[in-house]
Amino acid sequence: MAIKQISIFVQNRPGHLADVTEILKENNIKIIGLSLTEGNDFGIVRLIVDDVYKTEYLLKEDKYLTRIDDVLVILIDDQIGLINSICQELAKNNININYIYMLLEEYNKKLPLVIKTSDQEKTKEVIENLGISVISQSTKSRNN
Amino acid sequence: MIWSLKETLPREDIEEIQLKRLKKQIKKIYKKVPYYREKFKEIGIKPKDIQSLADIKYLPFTSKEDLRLNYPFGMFAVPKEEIVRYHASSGTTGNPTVVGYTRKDMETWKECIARLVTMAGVTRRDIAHISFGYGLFTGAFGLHQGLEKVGAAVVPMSSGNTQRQIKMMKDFGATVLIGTPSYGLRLAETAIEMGIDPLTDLKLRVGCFGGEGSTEAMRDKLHESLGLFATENYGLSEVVGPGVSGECTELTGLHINEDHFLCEVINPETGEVLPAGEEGELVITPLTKEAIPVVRYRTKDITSIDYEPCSCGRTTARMAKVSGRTDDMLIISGVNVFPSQIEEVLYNIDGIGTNYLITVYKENYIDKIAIDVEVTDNSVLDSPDSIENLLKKVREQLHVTLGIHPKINLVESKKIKRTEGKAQRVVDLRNKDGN
Ligand SMILES: [Zn+2]
Repeated sequence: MAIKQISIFVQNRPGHLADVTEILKENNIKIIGLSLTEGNDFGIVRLIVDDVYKTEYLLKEDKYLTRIDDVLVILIDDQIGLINSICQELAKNNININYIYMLLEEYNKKLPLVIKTSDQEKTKEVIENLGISVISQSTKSRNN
Repeated sequence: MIWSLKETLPREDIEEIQLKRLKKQIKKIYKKVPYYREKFKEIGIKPKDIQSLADIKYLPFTSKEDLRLNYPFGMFAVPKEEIVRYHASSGTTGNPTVVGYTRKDMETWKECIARLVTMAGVTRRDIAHISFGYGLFTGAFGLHQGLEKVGAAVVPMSSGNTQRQIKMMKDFGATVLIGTPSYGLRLAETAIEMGIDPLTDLKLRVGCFGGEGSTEAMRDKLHESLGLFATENYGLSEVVGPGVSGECTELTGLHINEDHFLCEVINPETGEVLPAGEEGELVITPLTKEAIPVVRYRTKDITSIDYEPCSCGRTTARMAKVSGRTDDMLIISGVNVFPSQIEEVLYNIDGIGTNYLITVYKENYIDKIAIDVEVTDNSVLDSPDSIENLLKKVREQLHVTLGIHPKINLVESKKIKRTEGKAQRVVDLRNKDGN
């Protein structure tokens, strides 16, 4: 199962994220994960939703700049030190983390974590070697 | 003080000089400039048909485009060895407009400037700091020569390096500031940041501003922040450069050097000459220009002319401060730019869409330009850095090509304002709120 993430360009102004979430609500699309990366005057919204292509269609209709990527979602236990082990291990392998965010619901009693790094293939390998399950095939994103 | 007796002649005498010079000028142009000879022939007019000043209405107009099409020397009326100076105006797309000056043109130019700076209150005891850029633009050299003629000491500072400008003004004890009004305000702000109070640490008393229009609010602000008496002067390189008109200390409008420039105000749509006092497009015919003597040059600047004598003692007609343009040219802190030029730059940058909105506004009385631009390349959603890089590229391209420093807002496409389905490209907020 590949997990698809949609990224959306928004201005960093009051109401602009709300415009996006409103479209989703109107169309009964469920947000499973959300992160907002901030630039100077803009933001990049990253969403995991229950219907990524419908979301893309709706947002494009409204002329939003969007992009869909396959992302790596790892399932971790709610346990002290686990995130540290992951970070340490990635560092050791010289992998840079671009962003990490949590999904809003548990998955098999574990916490799903979206992770984007400088090398997704290697990240998957490193994390699996730690005995942590990864629920996506880290295929190359289609824009790369 | 009044520099020349020519500024105080009775109206009949002014008009007599104008008519004499106009007839001579048109005769010469007909003989020396094939472009005009052809044009005159086309509409069936001969120099001898000009028998009164009002007859000028039969002559064809000249536009900036005409000058461009005859680039570089097609409109010149003298052999090249007669030229002692060239200047050119901005031409970022296509050809610039080139102008030349004979030795006599240089004398006329100096004379015109000498009158304008004198009517602003400048004397031979002044130290004049010139903050216009020295180069192909006419501003710096024009003022420079006229100030020297008056006998003032000129500090040819040129543009840029604001802190150094302030240090020089302070150390040299500059009493006159020459530049754009918006740069004057910038100097005031920078001085304060440097811990220099312009009101006590500088000796500025008169400002001769030009290169862009200004408002009464700006005049007040220049006075408050720099402690100087702010005046405005007007001109354009196609007819001479600065030197067409300027404000006297009565601030009743800009006195026109009428013995050198015949000014008309026309309806920009019909081309019809408007009665005195009515607002319209200013059209200028230089009466003594030798090198490149244009006929009825359309300035695209909107103003009106008052022919009543002024309380300062001068009888020369006064034009009102330019209130706007008939085209969409924007003047951003002295830099002329057309929206179409901005558009061309944007269109050539990958990752940017075809919708944009230019907003011109004032921040602390200084012209600012902001451009809303849509992003179309979704690969930049990779990271904020990719977006920052795109922003940087847009800013650099606009600066390198047009010399402007806009604030670029990357916006969602649908947030770019449109009026009635049609894209609105420019919003000018500068003349709102009394600015
Ligand atoms: Zn006056």
